[in-house]
Amino acid sequence: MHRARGMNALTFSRRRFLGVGAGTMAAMAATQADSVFRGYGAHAGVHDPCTDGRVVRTVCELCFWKCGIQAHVLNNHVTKIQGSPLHPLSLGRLCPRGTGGGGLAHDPDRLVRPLVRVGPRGSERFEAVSWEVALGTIAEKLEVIRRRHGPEAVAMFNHGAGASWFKHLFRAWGTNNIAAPSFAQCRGPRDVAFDLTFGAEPGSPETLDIAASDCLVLIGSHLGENMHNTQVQEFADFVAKGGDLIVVDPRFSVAASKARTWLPIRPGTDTALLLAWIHVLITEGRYQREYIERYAQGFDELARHVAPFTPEWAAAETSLDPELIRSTARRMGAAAPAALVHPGRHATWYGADDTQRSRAIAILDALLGAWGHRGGIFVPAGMRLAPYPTPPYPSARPAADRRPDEAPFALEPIAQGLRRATLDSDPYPVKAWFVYGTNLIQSLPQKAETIRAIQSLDLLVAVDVIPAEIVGYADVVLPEASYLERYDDLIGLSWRRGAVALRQPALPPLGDSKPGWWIAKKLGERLGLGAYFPWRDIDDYLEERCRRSNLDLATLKRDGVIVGPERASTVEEGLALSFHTPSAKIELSSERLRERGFDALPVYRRPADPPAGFFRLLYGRAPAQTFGRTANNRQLGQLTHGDRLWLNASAAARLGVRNGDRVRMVNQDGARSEPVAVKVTERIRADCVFLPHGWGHTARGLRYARGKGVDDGDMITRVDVDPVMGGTGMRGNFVSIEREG
Amino acid sequence: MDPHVEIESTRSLAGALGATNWGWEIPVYLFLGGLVAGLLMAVCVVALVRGRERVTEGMRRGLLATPVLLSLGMGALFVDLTYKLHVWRFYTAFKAAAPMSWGSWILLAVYPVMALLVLAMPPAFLMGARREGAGTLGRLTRWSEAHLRGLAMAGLAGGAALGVYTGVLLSATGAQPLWSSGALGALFLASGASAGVAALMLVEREHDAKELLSRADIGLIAAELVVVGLWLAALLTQGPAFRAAAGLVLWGEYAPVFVGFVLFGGLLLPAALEVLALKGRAAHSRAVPALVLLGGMLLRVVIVYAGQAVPLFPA
Amino acid sequence: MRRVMIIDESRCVGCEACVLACKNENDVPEGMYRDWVTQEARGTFPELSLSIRSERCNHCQDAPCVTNCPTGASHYRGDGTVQINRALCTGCRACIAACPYGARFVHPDGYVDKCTLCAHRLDRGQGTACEEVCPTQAIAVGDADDPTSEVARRMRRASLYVLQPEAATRPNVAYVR
Repeated sequence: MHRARGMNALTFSRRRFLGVGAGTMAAMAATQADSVFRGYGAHAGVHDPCTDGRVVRTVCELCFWKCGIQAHVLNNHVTKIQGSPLHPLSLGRLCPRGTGGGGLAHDPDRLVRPLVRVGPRGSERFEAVSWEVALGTIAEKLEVIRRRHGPEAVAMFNHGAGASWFKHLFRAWGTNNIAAPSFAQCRGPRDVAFDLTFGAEPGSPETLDIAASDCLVLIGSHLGENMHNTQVQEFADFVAKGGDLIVVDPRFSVAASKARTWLPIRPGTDTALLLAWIHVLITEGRYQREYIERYAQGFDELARHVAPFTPEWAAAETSLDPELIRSTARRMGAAAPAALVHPGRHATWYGADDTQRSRAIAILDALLGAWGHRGGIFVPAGMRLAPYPTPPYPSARPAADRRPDEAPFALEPIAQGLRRATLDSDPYPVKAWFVYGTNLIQSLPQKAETIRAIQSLDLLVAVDVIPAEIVGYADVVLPEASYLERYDDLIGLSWRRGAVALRQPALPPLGDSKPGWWIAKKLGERLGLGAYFPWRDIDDYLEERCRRSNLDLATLKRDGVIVGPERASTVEEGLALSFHTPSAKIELSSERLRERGFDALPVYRRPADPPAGFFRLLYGRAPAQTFGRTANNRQLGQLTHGDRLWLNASAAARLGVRNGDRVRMVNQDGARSEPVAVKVTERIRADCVFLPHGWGHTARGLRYARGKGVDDGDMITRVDVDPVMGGTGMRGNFVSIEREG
Repeated sequence: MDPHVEIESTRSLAGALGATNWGWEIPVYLFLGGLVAGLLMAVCVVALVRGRERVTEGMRRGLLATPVLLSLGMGALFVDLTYKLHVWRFYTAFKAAAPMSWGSWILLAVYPVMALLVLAMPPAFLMGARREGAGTLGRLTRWSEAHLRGLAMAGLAGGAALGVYTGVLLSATGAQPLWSSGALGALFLASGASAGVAALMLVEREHDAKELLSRADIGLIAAELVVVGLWLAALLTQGPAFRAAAGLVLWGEYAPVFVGFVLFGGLLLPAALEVLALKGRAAHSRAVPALVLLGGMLLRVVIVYAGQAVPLFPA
Repeated sequence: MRRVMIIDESRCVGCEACVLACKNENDVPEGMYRDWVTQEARGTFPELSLSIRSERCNHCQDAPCVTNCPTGASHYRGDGTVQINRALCTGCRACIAACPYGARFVHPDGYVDKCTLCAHRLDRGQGTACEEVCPTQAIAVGDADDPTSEVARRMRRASLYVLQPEAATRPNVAYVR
């Protein structure tokens, strides 16, 4: 029996449970019988002996959702984290990632001192230095680059709420090369598609009225294994009330297991299914006629366009039953307008198909009248937040991420485009990368290209909390205090009611780590940009912003959030619909796409079949993880990792692979993976395999994550770029399976 | 036609279900406890049926060994505890429904009985030391000799309780299909009795006594075979979980040891050799009781480990 | 009062937030679990079903662990829960051998440990750690003797079932589909 240390390395027995002896019955306080209700505000005042009286309300950063949380602190140790009952996104509940936030704050592998590289890039050999030296080195090198190549020669990659300080810094510096992989490597296609159709993106978090819906279609979403808190809460309500759930997925996901109908679609053929659904709704008159007549344009062209896309046609492409395609479309129509096709989130699958497929989803949602109706897509309200006044940004050269006419509809710079610009010095040299909170080695596909680009830089700076792979390549590493140890800028929420949340520290920064606002301000001052950081410190900044925004900072600090007034978010509540498109209507057919030479309406192109003996590689999420950023979290490591390769049972039998065996993947370009354990299962089609993204770390500094699972990115050597907005389609890779040993 | 089932859990994937709950300490204790029970019962039966004089020197040595062997067994139990400082808590409660509880008390109660029996029937090398004792020891000796009959009945009862409870200890848990049989108590009692008799055979010198013990052993082995047969038959017909458990010892991972060393080597073979010896066709050999003892030990090892190999819960 | 926990399987997505919330609330050692999530997939592609459950000690009304405990360490608290008095536990582990659910484990400090139904929280009018964190409200804890409670409501559903009914332990933790 091994004697492990407790989860929290505390030795006092504060939780020793003193049992009541048999035969003795202490008078029991009457228990509140009902504990199931959304939010437990009634209990908010109860003292919890698991703390020293300090419960700090702040905002989670384990994923992008940004739930309000309550961090319990005892002796400078976070003992537990709960959802804040006051925050509209958490309502007192929390997903496993946020629950394990203590595993990040107390990660023994955390960066705690500024580092300067002493070995070659990637060797992870550093020398600890003072902030003076670190910031001084960066400022010096940036100045050299500015003199030689201009300020636009600096690219900034980012992810997370804390990036705001650095985006501000580099705008002030004079570059437009600021990109987040979350656009072109993730939600970009659907944001562009919905923007083209409705004049607005689905939102982040997505403004979906799931609980009130009567019919929910998940196509390209494995909600439930995707643990976006609020959405999962509403999803459970939807399922429990008996809502009609239709799930399209090559894998029998958790969501699929709760569906009335699961459509195990052939990978790559989703657009065919969507077009057939549109066909049924239109030819059978089951769409929201009045809504379309009033709010949409391009219907006639759409009707003509989908005429040939019958369920029979789609059945052949998708391997689904045509009657099932027909009946599911009818069920959506019957439930409309309280019917919702989830826009999905990660949409960069097959390249040219991606924006168009998302357009098909948007068109379907329009035909169902989902936009603006209860049970569909609500129109959110935000909080009016005044900025802290700073000088206007200097004008800067256009971003280098795209050549003229390339990806014309991208809404922001595309990350891999900046990489290409760096490699090609085209349209101008890019000589420095400043990377905040994103592990480019894993978040960009085609790792070898990323490394090549890095090696060509004059300067690579990484700001991070843990030593992810990108840190190993940096010239200067700046340790940021974790989200539990810092203030960040006000976090606005656009939701049914607007809200603003405050991230505030529950702990002092570990070691010599610093909050992002401090790093950005200090660096800015060294770069002569002090005017853009005129506030003394974060307190000064927040006080002034709150004053200008008519927010009471004391309330914000106490409650962690201030929620705005009730506003109508749907037609049923009295909302008047308007669409910020050129025509001021929902654009079913897209003139803007047509003008640029793209299909005005989605067209289906059959994907390539896997070569004989190969499986299409699909990747996704595991509920206890947020891709690579949580793999080193030892608390989350206690949960199911999700680091096994899903392989169909019949396929496995043919290969002689049994559950738990280790195999290697070899992709169509000959790339070989490290050994990975196999989950042999009936829960996936025989023509594809599935692997959660985020394992296979190689960084020596990530002592827990290193060597666990494999990186699907190693198999993604082929990338299909979406010409509409530059998204990198990564599901066009095929792997064969080799037994190991 | 079993539907294809895939079961896994947080803990099965974390490898948290691997460790065996009860290890070597328990089979060692069960064997020694059963052995002591058998020794005690055998000697008491001889004393009751044939009288003190017929309790041979070998039997008296066996009797003397009982407190030593039992202490070793209790030592193994102590080693097994993960909170040893609380061992005295066994003796601040009596839980009638918990075999582990009345086992602790039986263990305690049996010591004075064994001690008094030894005083009444000491082996030769102790004879002198005890006779001359005046005072307490002398009084106790005379008292024991006078009440030998009562003591032997107590010893018989205590031995029986000791033998049965070791089986009931396992069957009362109810969560291991292999152990979930009322036959286990009878099986361990028969096995313990047989082991006790075998142990006596190892140290017995008198020819008549050896014959007696040999015959007794054959009878006990026969009884044991019947109980094992009933036990396995019941398991094989009680349902899938029980069938799987029985399969583990009959044709699965534990079969070589169970069938080879317990059934054959520990029961059938020694019984056959003893029958041959009694018919004069072979010599009485010490190999026979050694095989019985080894078989008894392995019976408990297999049952304890195989029983824990197939839990009721799936993951 | 009889405290029960009724878990709605249809709501559970198997996220394991309950597992981690329990670990943090109760300082459960690394590699050990007071509660866990089990997934059971049945059928062959594409005719499949998936059952997902959060599991823990079932706080049985006829608990073999209590029956088999020689010192009274494992006992009925009188509120529907089964608890372990660490002061009495010798670590003999008869209770672990007796539990048909495998709910118990040996704590590194030597005593046997398991889910306590967060009695320390319930006594203060709070919910159990797992119940409060659960994003899908799959877990409900309350008084079975109160007909207006959420748990009583769930217990009236026809799909109510317990784990390993053949063990006949009359658990106070049950599930609805």
